[in-house]
Amino acid sequence: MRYRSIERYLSLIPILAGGLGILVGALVIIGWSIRDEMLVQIHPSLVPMQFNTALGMLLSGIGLIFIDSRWRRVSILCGAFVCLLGILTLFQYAFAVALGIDQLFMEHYITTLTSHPGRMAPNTALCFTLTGAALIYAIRKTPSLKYTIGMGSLGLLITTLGLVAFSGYLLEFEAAYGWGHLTRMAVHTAIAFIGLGTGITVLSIRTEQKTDPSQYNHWLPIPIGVLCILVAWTVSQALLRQEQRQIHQMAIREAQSLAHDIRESIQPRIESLERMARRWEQVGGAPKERWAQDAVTYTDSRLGYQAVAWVGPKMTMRWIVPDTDTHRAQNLQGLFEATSRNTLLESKQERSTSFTRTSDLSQGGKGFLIVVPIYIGDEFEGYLLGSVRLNQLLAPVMNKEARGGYTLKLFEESDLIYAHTIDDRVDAKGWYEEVDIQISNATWRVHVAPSIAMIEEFNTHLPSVVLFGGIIGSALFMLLIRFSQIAQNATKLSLVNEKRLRLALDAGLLGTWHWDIRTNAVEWDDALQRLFGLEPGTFEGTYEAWRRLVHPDDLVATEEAIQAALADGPAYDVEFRVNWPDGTERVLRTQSLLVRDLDGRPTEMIGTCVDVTDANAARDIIEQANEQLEDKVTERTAELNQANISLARSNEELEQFAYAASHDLKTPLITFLGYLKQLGKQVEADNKKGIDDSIARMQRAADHMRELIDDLLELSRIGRAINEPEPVDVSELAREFAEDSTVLLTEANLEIRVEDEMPIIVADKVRIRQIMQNLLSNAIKYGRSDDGGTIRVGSQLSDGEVRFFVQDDGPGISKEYHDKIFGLFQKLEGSSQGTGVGLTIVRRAIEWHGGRVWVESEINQGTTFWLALPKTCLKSSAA
Amino acid sequence: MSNTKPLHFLLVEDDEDHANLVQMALADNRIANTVDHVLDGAAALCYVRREAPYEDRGRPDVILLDLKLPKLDGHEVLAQLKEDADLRSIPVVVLTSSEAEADRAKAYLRHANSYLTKPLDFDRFHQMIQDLKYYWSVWNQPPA
Repeated sequence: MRYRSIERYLSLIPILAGGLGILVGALVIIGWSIRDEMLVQIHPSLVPMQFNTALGMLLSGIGLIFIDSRWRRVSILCGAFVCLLGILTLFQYAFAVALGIDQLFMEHYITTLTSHPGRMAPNTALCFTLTGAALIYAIRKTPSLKYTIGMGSLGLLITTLGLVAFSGYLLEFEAAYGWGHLTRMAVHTAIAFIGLGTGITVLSIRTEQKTDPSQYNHWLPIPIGVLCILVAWTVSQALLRQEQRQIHQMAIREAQSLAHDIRESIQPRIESLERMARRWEQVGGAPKERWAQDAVTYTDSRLGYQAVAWVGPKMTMRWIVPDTDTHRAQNLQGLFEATSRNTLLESKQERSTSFTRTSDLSQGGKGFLIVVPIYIGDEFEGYLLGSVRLNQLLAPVMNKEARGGYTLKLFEESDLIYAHTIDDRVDAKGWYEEVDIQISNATWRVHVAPSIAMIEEFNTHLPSVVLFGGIIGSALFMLLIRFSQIAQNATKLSLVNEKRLRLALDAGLLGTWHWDIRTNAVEWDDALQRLFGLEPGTFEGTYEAWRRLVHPDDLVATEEAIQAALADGPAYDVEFRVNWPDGTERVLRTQSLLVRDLDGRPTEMIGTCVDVTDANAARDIIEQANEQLEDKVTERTAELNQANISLARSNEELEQFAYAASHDLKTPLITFLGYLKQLGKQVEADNKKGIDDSIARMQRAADHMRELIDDLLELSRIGRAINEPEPVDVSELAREFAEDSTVLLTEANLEIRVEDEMPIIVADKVRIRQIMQNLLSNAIKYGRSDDGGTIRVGSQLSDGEVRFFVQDDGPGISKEYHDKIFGLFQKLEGSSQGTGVGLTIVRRAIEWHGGRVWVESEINQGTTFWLALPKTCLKSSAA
Repeated sequence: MSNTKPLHFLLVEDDEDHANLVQMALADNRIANTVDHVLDGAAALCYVRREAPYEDRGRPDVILLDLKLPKLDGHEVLAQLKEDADLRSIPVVVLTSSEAEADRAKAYLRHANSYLTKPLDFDRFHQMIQDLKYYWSVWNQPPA
């Protein structure tokens, strides 16, 4: 069974990313084909997505979608193509060659921010190379931590490149999406790469891992993350250094150019002054008018001399142009300074042109003298001096348009002789460059520093972006590795758990199922299919297929239970029968849980199923045993109750006996003792008649006492003195009695008639005889009318009993005494003979045989004593 | 002490010998002028109600009642006597051989005026009869 998990949603991400790639690629291809610039460019100011980029994007998307499908080859082909496309494009950039692939498929008519028409940006090409590699890598590698790291790195790198480019668009920072002057990455390309990169990253988290993940070091993400951050920092530092070097190189170039320009502007002045000197030497002296004419020419603004003078060999000022006192005094003032004198003397000795040191000019500003010695042969004629004003000399050079942004300075040795300062802060930061200029004997140093604005122009955010992106990417990468480890651990755990569960399910012969209500798909595990008597794998997987397997008689009830659960229950628990294909009928019990969506609609049901056939059978047996047990208990309880009742009766009898004994046994004793006392008095009084009477009464009392004791002993013997049961003929016993009592009967004018055919019973003959004797003697004593009568003895079979009766036609017994007469010492007449024990003996003896005795009588209607014994006492049934 | 009015006793006793002994004791002590003797409870009730065959008998001043009687026992006789408004005032002395506490309690519950057990020692019996005589003559003179 598969259960919904986060993995399901994760697996959607590569598909969505692939879809995004396909969508973007296809739209741009269509855009190029139908000349829709909106699709290609989004906005006219933005860089278009090149056709090759769109094609690569389309193929990358397709490759990503098919990566986990049956058509993996498609992914390999797409990956290979995309990778090749990226590598070839990078190759073109790197070696500045054109392989003819840029416009192979499409003539490019939009070239906004495009260095080579149709050629994708270098960062795009890099992304494609990585994407292609990832697509190929994903197919070939079985999932492992190495795979996760490799795939994750590729994915994250692509995502980061896309993010950097996209953030460049968001922050309007071109360096992020355009490398140098090369083609820029289009904004939709950047977005598509973010998607593709994410998809590839997610693909790296494959959890079908079967190896034991416990070996993985949980700290692993940290060194990897730190390493990644270190790499990002190094790269960002290198980029920073690169930028600084560019700035310095620019400054050096500027300084060299400036030095060159300065040299170029001084050189004509030197040459013109030297030409004057050569002319002097060739001519062998110069007339003053002619010299002055030349000098005036040199002092015009173009050549830049403030003044030109001839100084004689003795260092005396001879001629000067322009010839004013002011100039004479001012322009050549420096001539008489020590340093200038030395320059002149050196120049004379070396016979070469020299510069004096720069000094303040009297009319303001700085300047210097160019000194040319004049020799005609070896004859020293003096010096030609040209006075140069620095501002005038350098203004054209410095004011060149291109130098606008630079701070420029000129040093002679350590003296600052000229400065064109934009911003002093730059010097302090060491951004300047210096170049020396050697002209004649003068050594100048050119100092150039770019302006803040220029530095900022070069100083891009790229290093920061790289560093920042690298840190974020590293963090993501660490998380990815950790997550992958956790996922693999979870997979291992879930594998172990599933095995355990499987074991538990198998042990309990428990099947599980899953019913997706929306799709009507039913999944059964192997155990469940076996419970239904199916071979695993043969269940069709639909609700209807289940329906067909259920016993038709149980189907309605089972479906009602399911419907009830769907309607408002969270669960159901129902038993139903199934008929196996081999005809076996089994009883299954299924318990389910219902899953509902947020709206409360049932979406799926999961459940377990167990075979309860044997359990039910066992339960039935137990129930039956319980019932039997209950019957037994009831029976025994009844027996106990019976025993209790007889015990209670025997207690009652005992009490009755004690009471009766206290009265009845005492009665003759009281009489005896009473008359003994009387006897004493009568003897004293010599009352003969009284004495005889008392003795007679005492005799009677003693006889009665003996009679009572005998009867009580007889009563107590019943149930104790047991004789072997034997066949007893009641009629014979009655006739024996009649014969023994002939005298008595004749005196009382009574006759005993005994029925001829009476049943033979099996019983204690002694007791039965006693019963008959007691009943018959009672009938003789009390059942006699004044004129005699007849006593009948007979039998009857009815209601499962065999009954005997002794019937007289005497005075009868009133109904109220019918029960009482069977009580101990109960006599109807106080004066009558007997002890009141006889009928008690009868009752106890017949009850001991399992029978009963009762009397039917009315006053003057005679009396019938009935004896009833169970039929089992009949001889025939006993035999 | 008023001996002027003759006392009429009814003795209810099933045992002839006992009845004879009681009558002799009463006579010896000159307690009763007349003693009528019946053998069972049913006869006793007939006697006090003056039913046949006792229509001509007078109302007894004291009833000496045995408890163990055939047909209707002494407790039942006592109960019926004390339920009858006319007969209630006749003092009943239970005279029995039963020493059972249940019998004694039952008798007093049914308003027996006295409960005497038949002693085996007849000296004590005579003493009892003497006490009875004194008791009745002094304290229990029935309302006239």
